[in-house]
Order: sequence, then structure tokens, then C-alpha cells
Amino acid sequence: MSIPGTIPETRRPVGLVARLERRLGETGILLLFLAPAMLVIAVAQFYPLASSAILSFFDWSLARSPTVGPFIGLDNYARTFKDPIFAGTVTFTIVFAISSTLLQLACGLGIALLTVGESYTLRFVRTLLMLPMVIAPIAVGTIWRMILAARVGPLNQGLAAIGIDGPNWLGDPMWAAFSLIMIDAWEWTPFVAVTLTAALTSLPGDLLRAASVDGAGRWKSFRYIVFPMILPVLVLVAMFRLIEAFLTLDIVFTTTAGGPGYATHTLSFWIYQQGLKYFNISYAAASSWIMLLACVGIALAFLAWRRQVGKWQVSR
Amino acid sequence: MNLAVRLGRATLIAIALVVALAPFVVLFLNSLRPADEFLSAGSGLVPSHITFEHYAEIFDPRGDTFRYLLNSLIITTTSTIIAVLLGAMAAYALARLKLPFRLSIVIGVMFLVIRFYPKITVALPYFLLMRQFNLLDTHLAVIIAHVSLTVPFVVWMLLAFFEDFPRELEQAAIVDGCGPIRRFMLIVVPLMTPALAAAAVLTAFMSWNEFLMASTVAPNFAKTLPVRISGFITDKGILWGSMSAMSSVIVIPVALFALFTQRYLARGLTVGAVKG
Amino acid sequence: MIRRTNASKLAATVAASLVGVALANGAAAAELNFSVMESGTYDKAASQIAAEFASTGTDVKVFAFPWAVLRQNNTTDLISGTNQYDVMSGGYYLADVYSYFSTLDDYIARDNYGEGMIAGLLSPGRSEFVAGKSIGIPYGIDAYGLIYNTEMLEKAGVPPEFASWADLAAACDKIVAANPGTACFSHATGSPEQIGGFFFSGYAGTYISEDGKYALDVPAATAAAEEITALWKYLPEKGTALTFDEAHQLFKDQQVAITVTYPSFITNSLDAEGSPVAGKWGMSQFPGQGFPWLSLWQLFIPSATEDKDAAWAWIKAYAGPENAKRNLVEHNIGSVWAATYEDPELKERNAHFWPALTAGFAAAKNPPLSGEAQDLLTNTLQDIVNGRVSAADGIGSVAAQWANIPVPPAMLEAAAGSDLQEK
Repeated sequence: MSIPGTIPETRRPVGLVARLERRLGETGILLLFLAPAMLVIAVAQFYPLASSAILSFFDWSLARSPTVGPFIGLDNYARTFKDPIFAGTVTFTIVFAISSTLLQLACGLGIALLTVGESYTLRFVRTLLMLPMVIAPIAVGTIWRMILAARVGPLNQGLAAIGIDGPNWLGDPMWAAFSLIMIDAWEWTPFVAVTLTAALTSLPGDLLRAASVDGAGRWKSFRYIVFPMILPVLVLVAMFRLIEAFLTLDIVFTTTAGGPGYATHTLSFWIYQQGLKYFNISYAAASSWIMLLACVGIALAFLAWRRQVGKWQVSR
Repeated sequence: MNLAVRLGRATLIAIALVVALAPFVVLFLNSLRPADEFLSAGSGLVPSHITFEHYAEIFDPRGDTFRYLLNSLIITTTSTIIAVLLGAMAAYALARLKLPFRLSIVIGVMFLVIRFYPKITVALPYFLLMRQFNLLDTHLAVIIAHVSLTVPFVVWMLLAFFEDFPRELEQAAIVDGCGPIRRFMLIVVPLMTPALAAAAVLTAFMSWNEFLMASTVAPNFAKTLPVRISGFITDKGILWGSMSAMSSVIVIPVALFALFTQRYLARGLTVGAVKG
Repeated sequence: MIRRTNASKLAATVAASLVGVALANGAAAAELNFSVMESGTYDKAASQIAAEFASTGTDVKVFAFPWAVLRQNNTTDLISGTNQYDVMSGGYYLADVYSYFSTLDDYIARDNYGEGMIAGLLSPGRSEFVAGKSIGIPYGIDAYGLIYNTEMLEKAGVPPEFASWADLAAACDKIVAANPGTACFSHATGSPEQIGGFFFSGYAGTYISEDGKYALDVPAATAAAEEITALWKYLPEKGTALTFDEAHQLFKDQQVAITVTYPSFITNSLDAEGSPVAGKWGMSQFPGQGFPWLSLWQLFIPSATEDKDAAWAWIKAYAGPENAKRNLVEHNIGSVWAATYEDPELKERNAHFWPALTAGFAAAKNPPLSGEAQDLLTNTLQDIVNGRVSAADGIGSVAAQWANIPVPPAMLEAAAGSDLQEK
């Protein structure tokens, strides 16, 4: 990884680079290093973000007018709180995100404990278990839609073969919600597992040996020694997963399309509909800013919690 | 460990493997299934006979799959190179700069925020921006989007590495009169290769799989493979065979790549959480 | 320094190729960009006709997208002023952007284009209008139909005439009793908006109030929703998330006696060689006091299109009477030209369903609903039939929220034209 063409100069004692370094000084060069990344982010992320923030205070729906309408203050934000569909969407999103995150944490921790170790077999198993998270989310949705087709899908046909009448996975509102949770957990449990495996591997081995010398049983040594040690990592992983589950869009698109009815509308899916289907541009902007602030709030809460956990750990 | 525990452990691992991998098997088998077997119950997991018609169809030379594949390759490669380069420079700068008011922390948090908001917020404004630049439906429009999405991640990841980077190595170079450019190029980058590789692998995955921004700014000419998949969901039904074949084309290279880069992938994923 | 030069050359080449992509994308002379649905029918016909059209000196490039993407691409193309497409395909769901299309009255008058078209298609509420002027040229017509299995209905002693969805539900009891192991009807229940087909025909009221707001006759709409809910019990087991293809397959496999669908999606394959239901199916009048949902694909010319004459020439080639029969026979695109339905050979071959089909075309309309208003209605109907909310509460909630959804001006015109505004 290098800029072609700059390497030769750096090997010359008094090259262009040396002159540049002298001219700009340490800080100048470092700022120059920072600049391109900042520029790209400013242009492609923060500018659009800011422009959506501004739009959220105006009235712009294509059905009303092809151009931006008048300034209406916080009306778009007020409207979301009165919108019954928005409220239902928020409820579903919260239920979905929390259940899916808990499921992933449980399964991921289980897998990490089962597969921790340095043997070749275990490393290979870990790699295979990682596959669900590296493939395109849009493909995850289409694969599961095939598997879950209630009448002709392989899952229900397999269940029928062992005498179980499988559920109406994507057609029944409750099962559809459950299916989405399951799909999200399938896709992201590997992330939890990989991270926790790394955390377990980094634990000091003598600590664990000391515990077993003390005669602590498996459960006790996990509960009182291992778990507290990996808790800070667990908290951070929970934060990443909760927020990303909160933002889920791709798998909803290709499995349930938010249905049946409004049963599986996630917030992201609803905002997508408002913005890119109905072109209620300013309303979608306001809703997504509410969501952004909520996500930042969750992140800050988790980071604070992690600090608490860390302090508590140090004090022990 | 006694036998019962070992057996129990092996069984649980086997179950986890089946759950994780069965969907891939279903996908691959469906890509070889004759079209008329998708809609009737009782066709079983294994196709009655194997057909390559779906692959033949999507790779029809008159079709555009090769173009989409090429688009995906160009976009992923370019985005990865640029994102890792810019990200490494920025992370190095943030780790070494002595900015007032803990400004570097503010910048770091700013980078983190990008991970935490719905990307739909920026999709439409970004579309309008690309139109102003006259870049709609070009590779560059998607590349800029992907770089801007992944650079923060690269920075966040590499910062953790730089904090552990032994400064003594650089001290010697400073004594020799080396400025930051030469230190970065000659000392830091060579020693950081594993970390940079981890960042590159993750960035490549993200870019290869990304759907929303690519579908917004590149509907035709610069269309990528994930965007193409959604085209098999027509208003009449779903072209399961072609969709399975196309999904296999997207998924299988990534899965193989993951097997070979597992070490970097695991490192990249965990560094933010385990160290940060 | 040599390496540096090479590197900068490489960079320049990369940059040039990227910019080149941007430039190559702009339209050249004598070239038309045409956006159409990726369906294996409209797009195939477009490529076929474009190849023939090349002899006129105009090169038509066909851009095909699945429905939802087509709609989004067309809309963003117009509002962003990108103007990539010179001729667009769409229907009433483009109401938000009608103001971006040019009126075609002069062309229609000049070429006497409407002559020979199915009666009334070029009028508000059927095809698209802005300020009394035509903007959409129909090229593919379809209307919701009820297709039945003659043997299964005969076995039950049920004549294929259903005045309402309640009637059908009553008949379903007999059909299921007489054909054990089967279900009464199938439908694309997994396409969220399609439930609208049942509502628009079952509800006889208006959609827009006197003062120009979205409004429902709440008691009538509630009754319609209740009828649909009762009917939903007669779907096949686990049949509430079917795609069109799955619903059609159930009918072909004789697992259901009736399928409610857009006929053009299925009639060709029902009569195809080897079809188990060939020769034993028919189509009946669509039930209900409302109207069968119309699907009328139209061509639009954006105001920003430079060479409108070439665009109009393409419209005539693609949508005109010359290719109508071939489009119907090869791609099952419903012809908008009356003469096609007088073709003796086709008329005889399709005698088992054409009378009901053409009667459907005559009665079919589009509801004057924006995408947002329609989705709110159809998603809520899905919630009602799945028991997430009662019919009364659901319809009440739609009525309350509709009051705040703006009615695009073109929809007001359409509603007046199709008699769906309260007087």
C-alpha cells in the first residue's frame, strides 16, 4: 500500500519530499494526511446529511410541488409523532432489534465458547461459521425467501418429512416478524462469535489455570472469571448489533417488503418508502434525523455503560 | 475433557455448522434446478435433474451480466485501494497530531457517527449532488459513496493499531531527520501490512455487497451485481432460477475469498471492539 | 522519475476512463433512450421493435427495470432534471410527476391516432391527462379477471357468475365441499398492493370528496373490507403470501378452482401445450359493484426530450396498431386496438375468455390514488384480512389519514373523468 511514484524520492536524502516536510512542518504534513479522507467524507456524507437536515424544516412533497416549499419549522417532526403508522413502525423496529440482538449475543457467545482454541479443525470451523456475514445482505434476503416459502420452500417440506406442519413463515404477521428476527440473527451471529472468540483468546491463560487449580467448576469459572473479563467487549458488540439491527433495510426489502400489511415495516424501510417511493422528501428527512439522533443516543448510552463496566472491572 | 463433554461439544458445533451452511446449499441446488420445479410442493431439496440453464441465461452473451460483474470488480477494487490509502493516512495523522481541545477525539467520534445513521438519509441528497457533478450512473459516483462509507471504518480500525505502534521505531527515524511522509512510507506502512490487509479485506466485502447507494446513483450503466439481483423480483413473480444463479455468482467468490482471508477478516472485525 | 511518469499516466488513464463513462452516457444524436418494465414481455417486444426501428435512422436504446425500480428511476430522472430517458413507460402511479410530461394532443390530432383504439381509452380516469390534455399513450391493457376451472365448478353445481365477493364466498363453500382436498381460489396475496383489486371492485363509493380531498364512504368501505376478510378464509392453506406465479401454479395444478389475477399474466400458459387445464377453463364477469382494476401501460414523452418527433415516431411503432397483434400473440401484451379483438382467427381461438376479457376492459378503471394513498389503503386491508386490526378500525384509520395526504391535481381530473369523486 503506497503511492506509486513517491517511493523513489523518499530514498533520496534531499528530495522533494524532504523539502516538502521542511516547508510544511510536522503538523502541516499530518493535516495534509488527514485532508483527503475528511474531504471525501465531508462531500459524500456530511454535505448530504446537512442538506437533509435543512430540508427537514421545509415542506417538500412532490405530490404538492416540484420544488422546495416554504419553511415550516418543526412541523415535519411534529407530524411523525402523530403518525400512527410511524408509531407502529417504531414499536416493531424496537422489538425486532432487541430480540434479534439478544438472540445473536446468546448464540454468538455459545459458538465462541464452543469453538475457541487454536487447533486447525477449530480454526476451519470458525471460518465456515463466519460465512453468513460476508455475503450481500440483499442475497441473504432472497435466499431466505426461497427457504421460507410456506407451501413450496425446503424448510416446510423438510419439516413435513418429519411430520411437522410448518408455519406460514412470511404470510402470517407474527411468523413474518419472527422470520425476520431469525434471518438477521443468522446473518450476524458470526460477528458476535468472531469478536467474542478474539476476546476469549486474549484472556490471560494463567488466570484460567489458576481458577481450575482453585477447583472452580466450569460454570463458576465462566460466571465469575471469564464473563466479567469479556463483558466490556460484549457491551460494545451489543451496541454495534443493536444499532445495525435498528437500521435494517436490505433483508426486509427482499423477504417481506414490510408485510403482510404493516406487520414488518422497519423504520428504515418506512423512511425509504416515504423518501424514494412517495417522495415526501422533507418528511422522510425529518424521520431519518429522528432515527439518527436515537441511534447516537443508544451509542452514547452503551459507551457510558461500557465505561462503568470497565471501572467496575478495574476496581475488582 | 471426558468423552461425553467432547461428544456434546462436537454435536453442538455440527448443529451450528448445519444452520450456518444449509442456506448456501439450498441456494446452490436451486441454481441448478429446472425452472418448473420451483412452484409446486413436493419437489424435494435435490433437483430432479441438474440443469445449467439459469447460468446459461444470466451469462447469455447478449445479456449484461459480464458488464455488471466487471462494474462490481472495478468499483470494489478502486474503492478498496482508495479507502485504505486515505484511511491509513488519516488514522496516522489522528494518532500523531497534537490537536487542541481533543479535536482528534471529536474527529474520531464523527467517523463513528457515519456508521450509526440510516443511509437513506443521504441517498437522495447524494443523488442530487452527483447529478450536479454530472457523475450519475458512473463508476466514480459509486466509488465515492463507498469510499466515504468505508474510510471511517478503516480509520477507526487502524487507530487501534497505531495506538499500539512502538514509537521508538519512529524516534530513530526522527533523529535521522525523517519527516512524517517518509516515516509513514518507510516505517509505518511496511510494519502495518497485516492491519492494512485486514482493513482492505473488510472494505472489499462492504463495497462488493453494498446495495442502497449503488442502486440510487447507478441504475444502468454502472449497475453492480447486488442491484441486479433485485431485478429478478418482477411484478409477476420471482425468477427463482436466475436469481439463485446470480446470487451464487455473487456469494460463492466472496465465500471462497473469505476462506482464504479468514485471518485478516477476523482481525479486522474484532479490533474495534476488543481493543478500542 | 520514470516510475512517476508511468504512475501519473496510469492515473490519467483511469481518470479519463471514468470521465469517459460519464460522457459516453449522454445521449448522442439520432438516439432515443426508452425506459420500460423488465418483465420478459414489454422489454422483449421493445428490443424486437427497436431492432426493426433502426432502419428509420433512430437508434432506440431499451432500459428495462423491474416495476418498483422503473417507477423510482423515472421519477428521480424527471425531478432531478437528469433527462436520461426520452420516452418513458408508466401508468397512473406516476401522478406525482405528470407536470414533467409534454402534452401529446397535437400529435394525436395530426395523425388521428385515437381512431380504432378501444372506446374511451383516451379519456381521463383511463389514460393520463394534465389540464385536459393527453400525456399518456396506451400500449398494453389488462384488467383484473376471475378465471375458473369449468370441471371443478360443474362438479359443485356452481354457475360461473358472481355478483359480489360475498356471492363468491358462498359458492366457495360448495366448491370446496364438492372437490375435497382443494381450495376455492388463489391470488397473489404476497404482492402487498394486489389486494386492492378486491377492494376497488367490491366498494361502490367514491375516493375523493367534493372539496377535493381523499375520502371514503366509511360504512361501504368497511362492508367491502369485511367481505374480503370473509373471502380470505377460502385461500389455500398457508396461501397468504403467494407470488403471482405460485397462485397461477395452484390453478394449473387444479389445487384451486378459481384464480383472481391479471389475465395477461396467465392465459397463454393455460392454453399452452401440455397444460393440465387446457380446454377446461373460462373467465367470468368480475364480481362487485365497483370496477375491475385497470392496468394500462402508457408511453410518456418528458418535456425535456429534445427530439420529440423521433420520440413520437417510436411511440407509433411500439404502441401503434401495426405491431399490436404480434405483441399480443408473442408477448401476451393486451392490445389497445379494437381491431385486434375482431381478428377472426384469434377470436375463435380465444372464445372461452375474450368476451369476459373485453367486457372487463370496457368497465375497468384506475382509482384516483397517489402511491401513498393507495399503499395506505392496501397495507391496511392486508392488516384487516390478517386479523391485525378490525375492518371498522382499519378503514376508520385510512379515512382519517387520507385527509392529510395531498391529492395530485391530475388525480382530481382523473376522478372527475371516471366518476369517482363525490358530487
